[in-house]
Amino acid sequence: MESERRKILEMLSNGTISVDEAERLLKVLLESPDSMTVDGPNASGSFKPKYLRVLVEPAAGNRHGERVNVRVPLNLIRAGLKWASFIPEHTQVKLGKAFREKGISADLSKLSPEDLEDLIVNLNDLEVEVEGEEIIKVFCE
Amino acid sequence: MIPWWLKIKIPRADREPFSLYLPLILVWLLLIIIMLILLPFLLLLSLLFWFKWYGRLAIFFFPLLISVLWQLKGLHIDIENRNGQIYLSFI
Repeated sequence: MESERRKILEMLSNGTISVDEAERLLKVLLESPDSMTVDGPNASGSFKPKYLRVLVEPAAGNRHGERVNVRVPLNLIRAGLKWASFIPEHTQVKLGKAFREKGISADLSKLSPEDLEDLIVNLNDLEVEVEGEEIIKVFCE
Repeated sequence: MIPWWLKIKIPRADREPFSLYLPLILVWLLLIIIMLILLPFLLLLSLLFWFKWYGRLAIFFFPLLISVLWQLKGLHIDIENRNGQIYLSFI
């Protein structure tokens, strides 16, 4: 574990990874020392994120920007998505139509519990970074 | 696990925000009492309107609500702008 921690710190000092990435890797290392490899948390395939994180920070020079730090447990999303099965049929039709108008081919009426589980599992690989007046980061940890 | 504490921060002018820990056990107890009172009505509603979508929703309402509340632990919301700050953390 000590060598892996050192490796992460070396990668940080070399500039291979950012401070945020180093922080996440160290966190994973502390939580599950046996499953961690020096190649990163996803390399072993056993990295199971618990939270969806949304960070918004003002970009350099933007003093009045908004700061957002939201951490949502993935299990909460999982539990919340179960409510989707109770959307009345006529509303599902309306939603499907609205999705199609936006160019999204999603049919909520055909959404099964397995699809929802796939959605959550695939969130694991989510990592979005948007830079402008504000830096927006969305990732799982 | 179910969260037992809700930490909120109350912003103060020119000073560090004031942190407040609210014991959620009081909320859960109150919620259980309300749920027990509502349970017979929900079951009746479910039986009467089983073939409507809300009839089925009624019978699954409490289990689904509990499953969401159960997973609240770890939810952390911290939003700060020039007008103020909102801080909520379920512990």
